[in-house]
Amino acid sequence: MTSNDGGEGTSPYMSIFEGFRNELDQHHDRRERCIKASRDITAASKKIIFALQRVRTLGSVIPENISRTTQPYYDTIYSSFAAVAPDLQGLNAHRYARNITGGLQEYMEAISFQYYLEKQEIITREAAEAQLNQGMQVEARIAIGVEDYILGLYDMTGELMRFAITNMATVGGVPQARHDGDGAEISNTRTVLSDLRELSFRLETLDSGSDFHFARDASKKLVVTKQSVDKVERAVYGLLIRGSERPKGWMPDLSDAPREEIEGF
Amino acid sequence: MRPAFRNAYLNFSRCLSPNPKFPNTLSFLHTFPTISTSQSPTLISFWFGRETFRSLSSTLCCYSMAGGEAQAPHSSASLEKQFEDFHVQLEESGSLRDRIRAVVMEIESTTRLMNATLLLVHQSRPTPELLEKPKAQIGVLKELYNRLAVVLRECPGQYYRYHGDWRSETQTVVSLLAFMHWLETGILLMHSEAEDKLGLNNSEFCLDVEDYLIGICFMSNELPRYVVNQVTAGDYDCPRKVLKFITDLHAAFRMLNLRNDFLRKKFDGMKYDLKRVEEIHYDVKIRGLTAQGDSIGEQEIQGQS
Repeated sequence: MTSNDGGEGTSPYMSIFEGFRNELDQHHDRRERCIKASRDITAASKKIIFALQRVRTLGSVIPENISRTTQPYYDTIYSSFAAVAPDLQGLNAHRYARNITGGLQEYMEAISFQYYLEKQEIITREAAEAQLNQGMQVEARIAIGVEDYILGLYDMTGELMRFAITNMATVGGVPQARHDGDGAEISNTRTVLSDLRELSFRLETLDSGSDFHFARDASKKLVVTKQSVDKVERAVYGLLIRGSERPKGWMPDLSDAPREEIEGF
Repeated sequence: MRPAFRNAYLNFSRCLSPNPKFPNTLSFLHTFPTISTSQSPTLISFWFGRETFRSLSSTLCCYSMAGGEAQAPHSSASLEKQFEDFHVQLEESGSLRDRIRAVVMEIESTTRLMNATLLLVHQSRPTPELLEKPKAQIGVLKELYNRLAVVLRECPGQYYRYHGDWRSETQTVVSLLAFMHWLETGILLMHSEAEDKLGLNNSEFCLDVEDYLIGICFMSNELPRYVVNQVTAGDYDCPRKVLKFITDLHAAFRMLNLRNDFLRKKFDGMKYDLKRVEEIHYDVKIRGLTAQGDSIGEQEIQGQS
């Protein structure tokens, strides 16, 4: 260590390593920008989800007072995505996928939840990607990978659970849409519970493949999703069994439900 | 038992929705939790509850079938279609990964073979003959990397998606190539030379700079042992040459702005290699074992200190 201090100028590899330094610096800068954007997007998405949990109707446009709250957060999200879009082109899309996936998943959770509240449908990956890339140049698009989409939906099941239980406690029934997009009355046999079941069934039966990171994340989230379904089922049971005895504002008792959930109620 | 429960819940939920058509059933349902809560919930009452449920669920099932609500999954066909697509996509990427891993395993066994031969340098076998065998293996490696590139060509733009599957093996490959190159020429194997040797220079499939640098760090780990054994075998000039090389290398690495990552850790290890080589050089020099003719080289080193 001591003998070479100050003698660096003589190393014949200096100039080559200067090239490596530039390359590595750019790589680290891109990565850090993605990590930062991912964090900002996650924070804004969480706030959107909180606001959306105040919605009490299913199958109609988000009330204006709530969409006014969420709009600035959407603006933040889209500008964060736009800022890192150049870093996620070509080969780099997969290079930094792991750094941006957190934000993408949380964004998926937010928009799929909003989409569900408005339409009682699960947004498709293509539709989600189109929404994310609205107004972006073709050469600066950001892809939502299958993995990001699926992991985002996993998280969304937790929001459906919260929404269903809060609704049961305040309105007194399992939420379901009663109007179509144009406001006409529809006969609807689907409820949040049946949709939640269907979604968790689809997620559970999907083979997560050989990607180690994805398989690990998916299996962790599956546990939480199963708990969410279970909670809503218990709540429905409680509502049915003790429905007429229920005082106003009564909340279903979930005290014996498993407690180790990540996104609990 | 569990499916029966699920069925029951499912049907309850449907009953819940518009208007309970079966007041009798519901009022009966009301009575039973009071039974189990008024007494301590014994196993018998629990069992009774479960049995009741099962029979109830089938009754309710019949009702709802009659109501025409029991067609299997109600939900959107688009969701089902999507998940089928995902299944196909994940399966495809899985089989691609399997093929990548198969090639990588061959790369790994080739490098093990090369390493086994290269380890003989520590037994002071003459270098040129010794290098013949591992050099022949470079062609094998090139062929294997070509196969990897062909597999990757099926999914353009996804080099970094699967990068983790060949990273550490490639780092080992670089370290072996660089060590051999150094034994032959006494200088560092350049990034582009490494790419050339592996045939990675004209496609999307390149040699990642980080992998190259980590491989060079691995190579430096090999040097102290080499010096020790060379000195033991009577080559007293070796420490000076190695010290010069590793000093240059270490100085070059210090140009990099490293983050707290794997490369940083490996680079931190390099200073111990440097220190060990310095100590050997000192040992040899202090005992006057260095050959007379290398005074020029000696000044070179001193010029740096």
